[in-house]
Amino acid sequence: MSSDNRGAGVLRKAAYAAGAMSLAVAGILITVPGASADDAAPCTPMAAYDEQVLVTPEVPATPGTPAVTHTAPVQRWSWNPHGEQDGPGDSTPVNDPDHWTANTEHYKDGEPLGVAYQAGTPGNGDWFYWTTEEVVDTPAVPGTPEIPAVYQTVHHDAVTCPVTVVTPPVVAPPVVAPAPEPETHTVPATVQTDGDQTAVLVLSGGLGLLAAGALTGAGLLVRSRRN
Amino acid sequence: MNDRATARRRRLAVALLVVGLIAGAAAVLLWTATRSALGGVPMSTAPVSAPTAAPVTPADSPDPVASPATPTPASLQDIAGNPVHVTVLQQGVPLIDADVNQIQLNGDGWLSPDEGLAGWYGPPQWETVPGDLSDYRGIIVGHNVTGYGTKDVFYDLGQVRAGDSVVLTYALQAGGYATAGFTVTQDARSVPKQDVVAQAATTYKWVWQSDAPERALSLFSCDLDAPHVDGHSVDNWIVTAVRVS
Repeated sequence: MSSDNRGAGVLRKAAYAAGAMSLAVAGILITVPGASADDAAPCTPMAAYDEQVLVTPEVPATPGTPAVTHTAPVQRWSWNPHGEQDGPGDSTPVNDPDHWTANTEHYKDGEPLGVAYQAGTPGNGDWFYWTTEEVVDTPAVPGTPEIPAVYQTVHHDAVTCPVTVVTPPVVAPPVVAPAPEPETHTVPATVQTDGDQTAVLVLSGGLGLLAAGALTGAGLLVRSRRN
Repeated sequence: MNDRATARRRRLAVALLVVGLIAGAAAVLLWTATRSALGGVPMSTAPVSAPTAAPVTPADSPDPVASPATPTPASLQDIAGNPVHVTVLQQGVPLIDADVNQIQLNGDGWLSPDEGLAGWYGPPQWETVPGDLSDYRGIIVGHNVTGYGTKDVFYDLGQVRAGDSVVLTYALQAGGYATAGFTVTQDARSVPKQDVVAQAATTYKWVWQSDAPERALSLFSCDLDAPHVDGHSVDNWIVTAVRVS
């Protein structure tokens, strides 16, 4: 029971550590800025064209080399004529195996290969035949033909760069508060602050004339009385 | 017959003499009145009456408990109201005490107040309220004499001296009244009527404008002692004052 708890604790810590590591890696990935569109090369306008792209370069021809072999003895056969013939003639173990009996595989230098030969007393000796095989010392290397280069035609569309319209920054005119309406101040033609006394003056003059007339009349009356 | 005729002539002569003397005396009296007005200067205590029962709420000095009949001193800011009364105090004694109404130029371009009232030359022809901050002075004018030779509200303007006080009472747009105090900046000056308007931008700019925005006031009347042409004095009394409260 105790060991189970310890194991669960270890697993929990491992899980926490893995989680923290994942968060750290994610933070780094988020922090590292990706290549932005601003990094792209500037656009260069170009006409459409076909490009021959080399796929496989040319392989020159190589001359082959023949195999280097030698004939090696395989099995010596003894002629067994069954009393019918004196010599094998054209018979070989290959085309007439019934008259040949395998003898030995140990080859002695000087023994002819691939031909029937008589050993021992000439005329009475046995006939033998070594079958052979071709042993390849160096395998033949076949020559290779020239392999021309392989090209692929890749079509490139015309590149039309978007017209970059340079729009000057709009400079907003400064907001100018409308000028306040100029106040009206009209200077009068005159400041007339005494009452118009024309009527008084006329009345005064009239009374004066009346007084003068009356006094004159009174004077005339007084003078006539004296006379 | 002769005695009767003589008696009739005598009575006629006496009657003519009496009429002549009375008419002469009246003529002299009237003529004299045009040079030295008659009667006392009309005075009225400010404010004459409260136009409404609205509480006193000066635009810049709200005081909702003030009585409508007791104008509240306004703070030294523009006042949202119209002048309704002017008082000029000399050593605390009213020299001028008149109600004010708003006036405009008449058809001849004259600034002529109503008799018995001081006139505030106000908008739209003169858009400065006395006491408001402006490049122009507030203008208040008043007659010195009436057309009948009696004293009018600004009869004593020529007696005003530097240091005297001017108190304007305003009827506030919000209701109620407020007052503003001014101090007279120089003794009353008598200036030619023609020049004070013809040279309003030069020699007599001080009458109409200030060198910098100011809360200033000009009071106008006529100089009764100056020569008269066509029944009018050729000079104006000018009193300038600046607001102090």
